[in-house]
Amino acid sequence: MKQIVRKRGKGMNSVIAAAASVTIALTGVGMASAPASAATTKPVTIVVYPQGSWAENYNPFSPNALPGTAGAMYEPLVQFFMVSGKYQDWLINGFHWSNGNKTLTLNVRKGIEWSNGTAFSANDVVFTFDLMKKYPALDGNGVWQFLSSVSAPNPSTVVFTLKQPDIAAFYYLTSVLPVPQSVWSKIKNPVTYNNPSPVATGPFMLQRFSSQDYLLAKNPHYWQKGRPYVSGLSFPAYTSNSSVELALSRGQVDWGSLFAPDIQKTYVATNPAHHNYWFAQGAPVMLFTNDAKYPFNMPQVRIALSYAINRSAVSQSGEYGYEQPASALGIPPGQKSYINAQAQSQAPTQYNPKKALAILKSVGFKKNAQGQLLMPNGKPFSMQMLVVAPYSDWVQDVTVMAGDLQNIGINAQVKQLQYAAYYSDLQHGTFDTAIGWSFSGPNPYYFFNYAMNSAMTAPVGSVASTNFQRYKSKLADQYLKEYNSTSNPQVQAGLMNKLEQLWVKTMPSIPVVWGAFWNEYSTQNFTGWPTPQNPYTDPGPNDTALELTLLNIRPN
Amino acid sequence: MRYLMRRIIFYVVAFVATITINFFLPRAMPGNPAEALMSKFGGRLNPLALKSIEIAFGLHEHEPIWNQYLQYLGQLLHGNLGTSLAYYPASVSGLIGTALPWTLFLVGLSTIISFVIGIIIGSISAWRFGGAFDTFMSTFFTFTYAFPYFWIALACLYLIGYLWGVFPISGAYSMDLVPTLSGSFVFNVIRHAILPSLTIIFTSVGYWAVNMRNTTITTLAEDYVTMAEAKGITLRRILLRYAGRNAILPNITGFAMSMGFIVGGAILTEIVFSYPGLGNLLFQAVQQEDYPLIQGILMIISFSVLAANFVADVTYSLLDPRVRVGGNQ
Repeated sequence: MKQIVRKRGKGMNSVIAAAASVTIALTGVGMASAPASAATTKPVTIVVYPQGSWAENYNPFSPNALPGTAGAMYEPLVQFFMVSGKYQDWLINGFHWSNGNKTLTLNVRKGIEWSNGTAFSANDVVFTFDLMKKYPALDGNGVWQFLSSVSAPNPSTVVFTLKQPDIAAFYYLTSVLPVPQSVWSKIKNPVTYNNPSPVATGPFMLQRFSSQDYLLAKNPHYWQKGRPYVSGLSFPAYTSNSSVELALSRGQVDWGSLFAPDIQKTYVATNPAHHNYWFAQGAPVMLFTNDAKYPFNMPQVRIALSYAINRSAVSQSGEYGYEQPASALGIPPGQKSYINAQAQSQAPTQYNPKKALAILKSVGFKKNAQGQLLMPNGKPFSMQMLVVAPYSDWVQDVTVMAGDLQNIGINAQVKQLQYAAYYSDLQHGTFDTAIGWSFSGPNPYYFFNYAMNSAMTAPVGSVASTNFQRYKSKLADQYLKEYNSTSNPQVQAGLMNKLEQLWVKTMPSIPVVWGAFWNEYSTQNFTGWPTPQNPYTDPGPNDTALELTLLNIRPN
Repeated sequence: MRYLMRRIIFYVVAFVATITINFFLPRAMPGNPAEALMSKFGGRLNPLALKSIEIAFGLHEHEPIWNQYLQYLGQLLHGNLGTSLAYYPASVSGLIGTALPWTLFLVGLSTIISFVIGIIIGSISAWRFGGAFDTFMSTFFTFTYAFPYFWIALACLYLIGYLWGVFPISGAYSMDLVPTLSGSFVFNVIRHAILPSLTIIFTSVGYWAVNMRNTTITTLAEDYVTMAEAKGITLRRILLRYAGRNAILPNITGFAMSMGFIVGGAILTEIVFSYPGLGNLLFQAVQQEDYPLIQGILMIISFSVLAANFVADVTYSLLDPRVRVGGNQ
């Protein structure tokens, strides 16, 4: 997760980036920072990712919508926090399940207005879902795959009827960003509409646009009275990681989401009193194994591989320690309330090449005279490790892991591909092992469901949606189904424990390091940012949860 | 005329070949644009969104490739370069239209300035062949020309822009300004262009100067120059009217060709200085595997290079009668 920025600008201009950071590092401290005066009228300057110039697009359905569209302007029904695994009612205040968990009823919050002054109601929500049904290209959460109907019995109630009991649907349904019926019912083609004058419920509204910078100003109709405390937001366009880095170090950017090597030197040291970062640890980066393929179809082999890789070395060497070593259980530290201590301690997390070899030998692997590891079928154990060529940190991660595996006699080879080719191999199951982002949601159920559910996979050669490792287990399917059919927290907790036990006993795939939320912030002009001590929201300006930060920061 | 006709046919064939390669090359790559778009979101996008993106991009309908090619040609005839994927739903021609003026302004102007300065200095060097000015300039320009561009650009950015704060370090104008035709905005744009422009001029002027110097020296050794000197014509007149006209010929070709490349933008310049030109756009498009945008930009670039070459051919045939009639004699 959250790797948008760092993954770009690493190919062609890595030389430039490297040279730029060296030059900054040489001078160290003492950069003049922006004048503190006039801070009260200054907008918050935010860089989510470098983009040479902007093209106007505030369509909340579009994955390409400009930063700020979701969260600062369009708001979700419920805010989800990936770091803590918690959620908070937003445009609704309360919901309940009924009809054997096939009906979800939402109570729409009263007193909310669109930025044009009309009232927000349940009808807008129903309209939005109907629009997604009519235009499947708008249905990014794929809700109409499990939704049967949606209705508004009165202006403050929305009723969803599902095809079958589906607790997980809550996240997919309520993270949708409603649009006003009065505006969108007149749009001819909502798929290609770039929505140049957005009407939304959020704390900010569009002030002006230029391809170099766009500004959002306070929405006078915002429902949380007195908020936000800041006057507006500015989103400047920077070409590359290195230009963002320069701007950050000069104090020209208040809030950034940049992966930068040695952030301490290039950012914090340029203004130690005000420049800070908090890279929260989220869902793991995985070493996917192809569980449909010999010898990865043997759980012992996957467990052995998990013991054979040195996660600390990967974290330090490939990720500068910003993405910390993951536990093999795969549940990030912020969601500790879900972690079963026994499963956590049984997980093959600790680097232990001897144990790895012992496990492999116990299932028939042997070493030959040349030190090569032979599979039970007598052939040398060799594998390719796929990685995306321009993602230099991943390439380093995989190189470290390949070295670890070679040390125990496995002929592990790194194979670099462009993203689309790499992703196509993952989807089609034409790989041995591959590094990649895990799919996740606001709690570990989503992670396990995406990774273990046999409905999420496909035979080798066909496209799998999320279960790229092609893991199949009747037990997993059963636990996942039971979990998803009950709204009883105790039953859920019991099933979660079973899922965790099953995970560490079979290791469907191998968590390596936690994915970081890239997040740099300056207290020069604004204070009140989320910190590890006060983690009131997910850090970083990437998701709709950025709204909580925008509502809590104040001008100095 | 036969010469020109031959050239025109050549350029038409070259252009058709370009657009055809332009069409087929990206389609030979594995994966599809929807998957490439997923890359931008780095696992943050709901995996189910892939389906909706494929529908939006029209990838769920399988059209035979020849139909796609014919559609593509039809669109090109209408000047429609398609829809960008990375900036979806923005049109490719719209994006190019926003970026192109900045590139023409920055790189175009810098190239012309660099050419004029280079030609003047080159001529003077040749005139003062072996003198102090010539020795210094030749050495200096060989040095600047051989210097890696990105090093100069980064050094200028860091020293002049970042450390001394003389010029802004990024963008085409201050981000808090709205583009208007007011004096202050124009001044702001010029201030932003000076640093990147200086780096282009600094590293390219040597090429023109050294070339002009060398061709002029060769020309000065020609018999007709000796003849002119013998007639007692002033050195200045010889340089301008006799030697200069001939010496500048190869440089005109070089200049016309470089005008074609201007459209492509100075990719490194635009990246280092975050300049919103076409080179920058191409860089972003490549990074995001935005094939329609890459195709569109490459087509514009190849068209400009071909057009500039054509102009060079025409100019050459006008300046040099041997080219025009050569074949018939």
